[in-house]
Amino acid sequence: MSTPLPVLGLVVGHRPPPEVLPLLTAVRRWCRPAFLEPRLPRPAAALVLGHLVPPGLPVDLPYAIWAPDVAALESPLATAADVVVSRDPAVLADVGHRGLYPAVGRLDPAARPLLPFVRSRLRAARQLPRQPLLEFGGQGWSWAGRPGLPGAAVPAAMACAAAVIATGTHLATALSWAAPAITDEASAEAVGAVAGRHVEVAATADEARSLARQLIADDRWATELAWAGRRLAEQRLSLAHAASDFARRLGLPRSTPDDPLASLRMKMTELGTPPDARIADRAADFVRGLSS
Amino acid sequence: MDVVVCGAQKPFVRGGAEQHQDNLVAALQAAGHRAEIVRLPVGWEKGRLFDAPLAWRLVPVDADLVIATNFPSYYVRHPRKVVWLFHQHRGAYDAADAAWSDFDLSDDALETQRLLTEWDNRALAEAERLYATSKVVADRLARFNGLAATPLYHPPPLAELLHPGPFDDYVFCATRLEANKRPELLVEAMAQTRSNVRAVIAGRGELASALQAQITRLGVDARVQLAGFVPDDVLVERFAAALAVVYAPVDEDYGYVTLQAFLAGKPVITSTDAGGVLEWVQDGVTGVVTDGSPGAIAAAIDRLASDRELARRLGTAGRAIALQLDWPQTVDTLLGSA
Repeated sequence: MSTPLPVLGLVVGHRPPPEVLPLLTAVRRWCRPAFLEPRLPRPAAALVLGHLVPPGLPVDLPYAIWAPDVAALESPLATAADVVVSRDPAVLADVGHRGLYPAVGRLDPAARPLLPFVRSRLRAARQLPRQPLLEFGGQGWSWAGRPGLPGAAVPAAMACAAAVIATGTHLATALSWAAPAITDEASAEAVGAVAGRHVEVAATADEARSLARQLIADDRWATELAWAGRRLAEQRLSLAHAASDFARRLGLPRSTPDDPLASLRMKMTELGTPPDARIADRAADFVRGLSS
Repeated sequence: MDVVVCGAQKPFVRGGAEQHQDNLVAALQAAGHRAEIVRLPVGWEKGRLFDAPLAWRLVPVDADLVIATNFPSYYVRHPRKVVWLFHQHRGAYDAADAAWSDFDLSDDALETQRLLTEWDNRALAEAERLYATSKVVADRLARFNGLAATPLYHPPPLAELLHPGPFDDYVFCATRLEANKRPELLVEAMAQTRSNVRAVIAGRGELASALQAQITRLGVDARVQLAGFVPDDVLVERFAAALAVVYAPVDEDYGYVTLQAFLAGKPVITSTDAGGVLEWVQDGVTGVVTDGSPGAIAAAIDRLASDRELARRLGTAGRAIALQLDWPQTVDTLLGSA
């Protein structure tokens, strides 16, 4: 028999705001959301709306607060919250590492993060140009300075480019692949990317190409940007990652399946392991024969 | 506080990492905490590389805080995980093209590197604080994984016993006799020195036979001694009476030998590609940094042999630096109480 899920006490008025509903559904792997009532047992954590201290809220309970705007941060309740859930860029900028964006959607599972040093080895293995730039412009995609890259080849190019110049939805794709990315200000803002941290921002195509050349020449800078960009993609585009992050920060342990192989698979999924990875097969071997 | 130090175990192998973990536990205990080591075996071959990390994900560690050290111990899951990174699996990263690495450019190897990078990044990101034993290790983590770690230094083994002494007629090298430590450079250099300085090489390893053959081939049997394993009390005295210490490994993570030499008040002769050694050895200040060629090492040995006052000055400067390293401060930093 599985252990009962811990309770996430909700103090959100009569109905949770629509922006958090997907998140509350996704966290059901970790907890059972239930409206907080004094007569019920102490929950494991809480999600609070507003700036009034809910009656009976234990002072040492981990809790998150929903902050629709910066005005919601003015209360002591917001100051002490372990997690601040918000879609407002100003709120997220203000609260720093406590912030959590309630993402909707999922990352393309085919977009596996490849950091620059793996990319360079992949290019060597495939005898590709040493430091190719993938660029989306007025005439579509160009690869290593050559226009006319077919659309079907773009995912592979995303996976092994030394850097990518992309805007709009293509930026999110580039970030998903952990490609070092250069973009414009509007595209960066749309995904919550910070210049110099997740992406580099350029105002013109020439400036973008210049930044790309500098990025390509600096492994450390490119790698820091690439991984931060991938993590941003997970946080902003993936409900599954948002839910996992939310639960982890509130100390809600994920319910462990009784089946040992399922438990192993869960541990591997947490690390981003594709289902067809060799270690997944080995894990099945490890527990084979242990139960009838 | 109950603290568990997590480390990898390669059966029948004990080296710097194991000493470091033991010393950390001793320092934690000296600071009044209950501390123990938990080690899990590890297989380095590419086909088994993920086995031990996965095992660490399953291991329950009941403690107030865990300090994870080398790969793959930082895969341990704990609400209060601090990582003091000794090294990752270098064979998949900066040493992927080394002769001893089993990573090539096959699809299988590339996907293993890709997945290991992702696993490492996610496991390390769980730490509430991420430290590295040296700037070299921190720089590698940044270059290959895009993660930031703070260098946190510590005293070497035998720190409390090492002491200055006379500047005798030999240079000393204490190291495992393995390819990355390059003990053959000193042997080659001894065939080119003009002074009558001897060399004493202490340590064991797979290169012992080859080194002895090299010594014989070069005709320096009378001047180069392979001392093998030496007990700690002899090691301390060998450091104390040396003219200088020669230590020129390739891209070392930290380099205990450097700091042991410094505590003995001895200059270190090293090379420009020695990695972490160069965080301590400054040419003309605490030692001599050569281009790593046997001729350059020989010239450095001859220079110090003819100018013992220089050797003393360099050694004194090194000792002053090494004496600043302090286990209590290191422990406070790791526990978050600094």
